Amino acid sequence: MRKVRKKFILFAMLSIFVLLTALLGILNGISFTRTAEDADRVTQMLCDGHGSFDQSPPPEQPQGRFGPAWRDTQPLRASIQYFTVGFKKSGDDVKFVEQHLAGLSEDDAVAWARSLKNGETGWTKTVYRYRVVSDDGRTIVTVIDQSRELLSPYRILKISIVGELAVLLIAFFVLLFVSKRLLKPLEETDRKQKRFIAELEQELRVPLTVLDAGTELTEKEHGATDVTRSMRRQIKQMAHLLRSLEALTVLEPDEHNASTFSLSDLCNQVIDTRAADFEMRGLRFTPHIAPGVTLTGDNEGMRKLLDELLENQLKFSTGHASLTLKEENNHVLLLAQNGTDLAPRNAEAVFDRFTRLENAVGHSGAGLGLSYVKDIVKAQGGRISAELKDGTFLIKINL
Amino acid sequence: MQVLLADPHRDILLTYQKLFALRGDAADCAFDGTQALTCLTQGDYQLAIVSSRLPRIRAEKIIEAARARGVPCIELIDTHLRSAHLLSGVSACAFLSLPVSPDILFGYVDAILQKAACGERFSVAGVTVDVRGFCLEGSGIPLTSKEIDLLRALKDGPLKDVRHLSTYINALNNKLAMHGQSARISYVLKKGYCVVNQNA
Repeated sequence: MRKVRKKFILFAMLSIFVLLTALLGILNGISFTRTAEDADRVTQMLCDGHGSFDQSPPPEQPQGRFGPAWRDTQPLRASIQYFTVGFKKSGDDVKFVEQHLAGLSEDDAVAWARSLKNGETGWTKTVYRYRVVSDDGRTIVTVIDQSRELLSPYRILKISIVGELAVLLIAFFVLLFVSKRLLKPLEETDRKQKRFIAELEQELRVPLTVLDAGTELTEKEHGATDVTRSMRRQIKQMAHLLRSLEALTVLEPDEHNASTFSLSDLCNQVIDTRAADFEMRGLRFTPHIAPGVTLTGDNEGMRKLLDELLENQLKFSTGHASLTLKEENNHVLLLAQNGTDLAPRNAEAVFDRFTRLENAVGHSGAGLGLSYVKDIVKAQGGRISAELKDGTFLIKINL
Repeated sequence: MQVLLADPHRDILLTYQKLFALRGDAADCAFDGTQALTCLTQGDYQLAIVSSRLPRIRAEKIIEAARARGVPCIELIDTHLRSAHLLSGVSACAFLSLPVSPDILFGYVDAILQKAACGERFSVAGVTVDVRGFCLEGSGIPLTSKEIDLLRALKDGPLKDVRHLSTYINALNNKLAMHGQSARISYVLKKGYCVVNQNA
């Protein structure tokens, strides 16, 4: 349930981030575009006035995207810094210069305009807007200083970024709190389901015991019949089903299943049981089992884990296999290594249910063995990983 | 033989009472802990079968009372509690989980009665087992019938396949440790499970 909660928070945060970024991106885009459009109107005016502001309004008032384009230029002349350079259409000869940009010499203005001559309109040196117009045998380049006009959009951008970060932070804490409450019903359902299975398993035992004993009694009193034999078979099947239900509940960490046992002994026992199988397959198997390694956990679960690891090596190993058990930094480390002819790749997929790699062709199995090993390791609170490189397949388990 | 059956489920009690009757054994039924204690004080039983789900008085108290009277007990428990019960020192001679078939139950009954009837004591790796008392001599630490069989088998030599006995091996090692013994049941490569002296 913790994983579900993490995924939920991550997904929600990502969605909020994408939506916010898109929205603020559009708003900031509009802000900057409007500034650029205003600047373009001014440069157009200057170009039309051959480097100076024309007093008279145009015959038709052009409409900009956000309102009337023309406005009285008196305030503009007072506030705007600009320069205009007119070039002869052919060649680089300067026809006129109108320089109203503080701190810039005429020569610098001409050099700057020359560098922009081949363009059309745009931003130059970040805060300057330029326009190039060609007519009547000459090319006019106008550059206006928009640093003051850009203050506002940049301020809006900064506020947007800070605001977005603040919203994301608040959203994170809200989601932390809300997700717990939202997922509580799911957690409750999951817990109830597990408890139901455990209780069902327990409650079925008594009726099954009575049926079993009753059948035995009937057979003893009246002799075995086809009916009683059939009942025995059904009882056996139900007992088998109960054991499967029990296995479902037993994989959960449960203090009642836990006991401290010698993992070294268990490893040695399982290895000995399988020694003949390795010999028969002509595989070399080397155990490196450190003595005295103990573990608190489910003894039977660990036996099944070891069995599955060795079974996997028996089936798929080429040449040499080994099993190492040791204690390292207060953890128990179990390494199952064997030769393989598989190509190097990300080997984590071997723990997925029903996954069979190409070397499984010709071998029996449904691809559940290693996923079962992973379930047991997780139930034990451990970590498992797999590596496939340089002709070696390695499973590493930390408990 | 007189048997005490203590279980809250009437159907189980009555069916097993009839099965015991077919064997020629008499069985008294108790549906809760109070009835079971009353039966124990008033009757003379050779065996008690007690359910862990007995209401009113906990099954462990009934088992202790029975053992104090020299009556060996079989406890019917939930499967996942078997390890815990083996380690907890509850002095039942066997822990069985339902559903248990009558054949298996009576197998345990016969084994326990046979042990209770003999006066055998044997030693293995410096530890003496009181078979009739179902305990380690000297400390009184209780042993189950399976644990006694396991120790007896280990006395004769190493054991290879102990797949269904690993829970008992762990429990025994814990009990040996509690008894202050240096002997442990360990697996020796290519030999099998042996009683090994850790100080050697």
